[in-house]
Amino acid sequence: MLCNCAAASQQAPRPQKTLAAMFALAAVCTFSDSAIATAQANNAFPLVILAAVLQRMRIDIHPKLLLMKMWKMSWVKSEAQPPIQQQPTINEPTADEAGYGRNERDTSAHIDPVPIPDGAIERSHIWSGAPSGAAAYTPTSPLAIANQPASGSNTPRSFMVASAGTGLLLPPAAVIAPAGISPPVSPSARPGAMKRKDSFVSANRCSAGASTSVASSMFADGRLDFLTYLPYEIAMVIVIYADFPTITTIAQVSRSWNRFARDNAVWRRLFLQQPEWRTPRALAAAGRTVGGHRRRIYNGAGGTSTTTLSVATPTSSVCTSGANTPRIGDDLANYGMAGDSAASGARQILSTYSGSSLRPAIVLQHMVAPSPNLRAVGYSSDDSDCKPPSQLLSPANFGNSGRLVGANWNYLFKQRLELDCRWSRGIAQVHTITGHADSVYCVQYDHDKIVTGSRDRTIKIWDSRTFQCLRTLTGHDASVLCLKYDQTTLVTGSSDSTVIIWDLAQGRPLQRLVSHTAGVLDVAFNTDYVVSCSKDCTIKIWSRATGKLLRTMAGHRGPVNAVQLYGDRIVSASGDSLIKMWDVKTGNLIRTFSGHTRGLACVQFDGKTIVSGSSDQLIKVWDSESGRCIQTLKGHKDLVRTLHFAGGRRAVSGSYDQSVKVWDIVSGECTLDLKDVHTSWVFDVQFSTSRIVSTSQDQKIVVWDFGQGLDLTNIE
Amino acid sequence: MIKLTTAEGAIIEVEREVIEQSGTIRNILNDVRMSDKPIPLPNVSGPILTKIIQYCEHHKNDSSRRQLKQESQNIENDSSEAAIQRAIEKMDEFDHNFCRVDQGTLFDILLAANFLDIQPLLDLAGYTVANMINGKTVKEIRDTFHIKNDFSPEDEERVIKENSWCENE
Repeated sequence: MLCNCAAASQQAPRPQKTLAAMFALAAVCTFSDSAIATAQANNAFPLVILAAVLQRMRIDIHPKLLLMKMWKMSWVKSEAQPPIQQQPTINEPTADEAGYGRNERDTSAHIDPVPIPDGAIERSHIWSGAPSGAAAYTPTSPLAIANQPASGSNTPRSFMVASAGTGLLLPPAAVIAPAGISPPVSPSARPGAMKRKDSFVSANRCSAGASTSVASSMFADGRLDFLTYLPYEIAMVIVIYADFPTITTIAQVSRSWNRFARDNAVWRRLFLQQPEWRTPRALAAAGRTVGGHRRRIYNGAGGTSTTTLSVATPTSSVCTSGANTPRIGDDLANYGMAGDSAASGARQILSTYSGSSLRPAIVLQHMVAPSPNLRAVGYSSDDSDCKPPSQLLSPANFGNSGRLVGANWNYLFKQRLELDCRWSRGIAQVHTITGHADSVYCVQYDHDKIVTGSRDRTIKIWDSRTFQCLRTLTGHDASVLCLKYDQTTLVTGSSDSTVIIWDLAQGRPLQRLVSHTAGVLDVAFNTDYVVSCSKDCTIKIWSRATGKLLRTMAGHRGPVNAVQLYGDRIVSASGDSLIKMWDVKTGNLIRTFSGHTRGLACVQFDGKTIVSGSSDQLIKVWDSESGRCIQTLKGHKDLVRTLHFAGGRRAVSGSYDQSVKVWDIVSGECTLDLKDVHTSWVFDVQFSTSRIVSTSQDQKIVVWDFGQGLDLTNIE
Repeated sequence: MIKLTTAEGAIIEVEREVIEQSGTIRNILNDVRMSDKPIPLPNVSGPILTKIIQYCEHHKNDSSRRQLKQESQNIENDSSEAAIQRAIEKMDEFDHNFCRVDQGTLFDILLAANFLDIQPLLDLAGYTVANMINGKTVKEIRDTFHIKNDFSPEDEERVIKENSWCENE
């Protein structure tokens, strides 16, 4: 292959280059034998090994690189002879080294023998056999132009830092002397055996001649198309650090630049570096663990999107599936994505496609919200750019073994970006679910179901996609005020002062926890404990397994309206305007947070940050360690009844002012105000990556779907 | 001390501890006992090797074993993207000054870091070059690097359309 390339290139050079090219060709053809022979003749075993390594590396040499080397050689030969002759004898290379030096002329300088371990940079052998590679090097190409000055002058070209000592830090203009202008470097400047200590100075004075390496020769004027002329994987090291707007720019520069902007590794990095963008773990891991010879995948990359989008603020992405699973990772089980092997992950991902993420949801009642914040509600007309799932994970993405190789990250990025854009612009499809006969006090949901509790004393389970009522649970003797569920268990609290633990799959009550003397206002649970709080001003801790009451904490002086459990910590919010943090194991009070001026209605805790809502119409953000209030969110015009926050920057609140608001808790801004849909107090709100679900005294359950028509199968 | 032969044939001596940040040299030293003989680095010129030794000298304490161990654990725990992010965050003032060189030298460093397998330096150089194009418009990039627009009109229209998704706002 190498010889062919060299031969192809030989047709191109201008007359004065022909000799050099022929010389190079000869060197290429004879290199390996002679190098090894030389090395053996000198009994230099290590060099034989090195020669073999370098020879092996030649497999990867791209014609362009070869040409770079050949060009360098020709240049060395025609221009740099004097410096070579002046090389001092002190450091005359031994025969071994001379043999080695010939290796260098023939072999790629820049093939990295050690694969980069993290796989962020895809190493694909795209060059080998690229038929147009050599042909691109016609005399009119930039490479040839770069060669041009040599023909105009016999002066040695001084690309390299010619000014001694300070040279390396000089600005480019001072450093780069145009060919033919800079004076020849004094022969005496040529260093002998350099000691490291003084080598900085002396090295800078190296004659420009033989020492100039390929890159500086090619790129010294800073005006060469470096992405095109660098070996692909090295160019990727650069492109991988470009930001998103720049990648879209790179795509438009030229054909060869466009190729980089379509590289899957670029999009994978762009996607995963967004702080709160997540995909199933199996998917992210697949791209990471597969080795260096992976194919690059970009089916239909670029797509046909006609929608203009913005780089919206990264957003929070979690739908907690229960009080005891507040972390995103724990939710993986719900998606069936936490498979052990890549193969099972692939199967699961594929099987998910047969699901209905793209099936149009049945809209029970499609409300066009009059709010200006909800413009373009009928967004689905623009969904023509939504590709079929087959493009996301085409068969090409699976190796022979059927292993998941990776996703189309460009496609994932687009879907996710559009989702962010809709959140920031308030573009959501609004679905209203009716069925409860009275106020709906509480809600929790996941991909499959929505669970609600109502003043009508029932708990209803709805299908998340069709919004049909799947099941109605009865058991409480009064309003269902609060509920939490995980994969197996539902826990509800009621005005009847009891807590019921349900088997979620069968809808059967397992235990009734009786001890509170007034309505149970909130519940939380993990694998060991159930925590309940009540209008009777107490917090009670129960054993989840036995239902036995373990402890009663009576530290609040008002009704305890909300409780949250994270790890060993309980955070409670009370009508006495205080937030308290407790240890679930000992029942000890750890810290009290004061700052709200009126009673608290809701509290959320992600292990680090506490967010609370109060009758003083404010939402406050607290640092749980220091106890300091770090942000106050103003905007609601009545009691802040409910909050959802699960880490990240986004929190969603619902208020007696009938609005649902989305907040950036870091900047303190209200990013979205969803008004005029609920016609009474908002009691509960939950959100996930693509939806907000809120419930109200108006008996309605409202689903705000930002992901309508988007393929969010692999986005969490 | 390890002896290295530059592309010019000059010999540079460097502490083993310093130059072992290069995976290539580390492998050579581990695989082959040739401590008294210079290691030929035919692809690295003297000035560039000197620069790289400067870099390794500055960072020789970064890669103490404990840190390496800790980092490898981190890498297992999170994605390579996070590792890259951390690499950017770790870049200090020395690093930024280190990259204040002309583009030719910068590309030389990039290629040499790749050849010598010094990942942090490769990241640093790649990041620095990327910053030269970050934020530039298409025309600016074409003008700066003398790139010809070789799209056909239809292709160009398609490409612009594909990549106009962030123009509003």
